[in-house]
This record gives sequence, C-alpha cells and structure tokens, in this order.
Amino acid sequence: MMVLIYVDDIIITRTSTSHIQALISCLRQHFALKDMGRLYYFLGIKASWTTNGDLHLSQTKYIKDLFNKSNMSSARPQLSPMISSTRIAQDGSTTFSDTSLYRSIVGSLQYLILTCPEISYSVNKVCQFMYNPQEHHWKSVKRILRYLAGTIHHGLLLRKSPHLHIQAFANANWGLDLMTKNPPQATQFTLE
Amino acid sequence: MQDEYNALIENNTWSLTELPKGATPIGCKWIFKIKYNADGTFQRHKAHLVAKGFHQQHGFDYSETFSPVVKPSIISIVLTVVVSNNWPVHLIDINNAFLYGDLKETVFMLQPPGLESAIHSLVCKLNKAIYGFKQAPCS
Repeated sequence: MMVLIYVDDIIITRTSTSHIQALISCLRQHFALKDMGRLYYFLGIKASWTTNGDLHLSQTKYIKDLFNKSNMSSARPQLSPMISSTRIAQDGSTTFSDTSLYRSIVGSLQYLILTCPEISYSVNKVCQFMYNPQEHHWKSVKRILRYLAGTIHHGLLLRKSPHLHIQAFANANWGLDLMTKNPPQATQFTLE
Repeated sequence: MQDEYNALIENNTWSLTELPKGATPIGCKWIFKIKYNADGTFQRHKAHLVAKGFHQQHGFDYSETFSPVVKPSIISIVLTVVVSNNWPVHLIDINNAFLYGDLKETVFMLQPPGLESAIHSLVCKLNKAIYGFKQAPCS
C-alpha cells in the first residue's frame, strides 16, 4: 500500500479497493474526513483518466491563476520558454520594482514543473536571481509565462507500461555557461 | 463562519481563562474565502479563524515548524506505478486538518471577533493549533 500525504490531502493506492476502504474507515474513527473517491483533482493538479486507463495530469487552472496574478491574461503565446542565445547575467539593468511579485511568480513556476517538465531549465535560471531580481530577469519570467500561454492545455501523460525500467541520462556541456564558466550538467532519470 | 466556530468548539480547541499576569495574548481574525472547483466554477464559501502568527516569538511561543509534504517527483513515480498496474487510487481530504494537533506550548489568544462570550476580559488558552500559527502545519 502506498499513501502520499500532503498536509491534509491524502492519496491512497493499493492492489485492491477493499484494502483502501479498510484504511479509510480506520482513519475515519480518528478524523473527520471526506472520501473524494477516484483521484481527479489534488494539489491544484487535474487528473483525468483516459478510457484505456492512462492518466493525464494538467495544471490549467493553476496557470490561469498565475496569469491573473501577474496581469498576463492576454499574453501573446511564444513557442519556447527561453531565447536560445540568452545570457542571463547577474547585473545589467535596473532592479525590478516588485521583488515579492517576482518571488511569488517564480515560486509558482517551480510548482508547475510537475506537469510541464520542459520549463525546468528556464525556471531554474530565473530562480537564481530571487534575492535581487532585475528588469531583464523579469523579462525572462514573462517569456516563460508567454510560453505557458501557448501550452496551457498541455500536461503530462502517464502511460501504462508492462515492464517498468529505470533509465538514466547524463549530459555535461562544457564551457557554455557564460556567467559562471561552470559546466552546466544535466542528469535525468526516467521510469518507463 | 458558525460551522467553523462549532468545529473549533467541538474540537476543544481552547478553554476560556483569565489572562495570567505578564502573558501577552495574540490576536485573531476571520478570513473569508470562496472555494472553486477544478473547472473554476463556484463551490462554496469558507470561513477560517486565523491567529496572527506573526506576533509569535521563536523559542517562546513556538519552536518547530515542519510539515509533512510529498516531493513532486514521488507523486509522478507513484502515479506511474499506479497506472502501469491498474491500481485503484483514492483521494481523501481531512476536514479541519490543522485542528488535530495538540499544542505543546502555552499560548493565549483573544476571543474570535463577533463571537465573544459574555465576559469580554477572558482569553482563550489554546489546546490545539489553529490556522496562522507558526507551528500549525507540524502539529
């Protein structure tokens, strides 16, 4: 049995429904709880089941809320989350006026990586300037938001696979990070 | 608001006492929120009594602030296993989750505005954590 706990949201899974029901009735003796049935919406993530049993996770509403918060509701969609030649430097322009907005938006973007893993690199970049964001860092954040405007209905599809394999990929790209001269490295593990 | 208040009372969240000399009570207020469904449609109104936790002092009113959260990557891994094995998944939601933890420290709070008892000078000595407390997520 697996139980995922996120403060007061709990996901329970096991091979049979009767075992799950047994745990829920046991918990019910100690807490007032609501059995929401089959997983459909948790932690701001919408979970939809396809007819053949695959699971599609999306954060459409979360992205919409993010647009409202940053006044970007009518943003023009972009095809990529970052300009490929971007060199996000430490300094170079004036300090961004609303530091807490920057932190709040970037924090929300980090949470979005769950269903939009393709933005993780760009989000990681803008995260590095949380303590002193500048105007051009905010531009990069807006670029990510514009990208999301075009992919708002996309999500992560978890597909059935008869054998689960763990695969690992590693990539070291020497000398391309112009800011620190440290090699950006990537390691990726996938479970398929 | 009355629902939330009843839940707090039923839970034995606090007991009314005289404020001992030298103790400072922390304030509280009601927060009203509209809850929405996943598709953005209206679900219900919700009232929360929150304590002004920012008045608490570390080491005095609270010491630990840790709460159990699951890592996003674990969510993906578990759901992948679930989908591949066709397991059933259930979602449950604990009502008033924060009100279950017993409070180790002694904290006094002013009575909730609008629902004071007849004697206004009394304060609430908290037995359980409520929303807004620094230590609430870990109780």
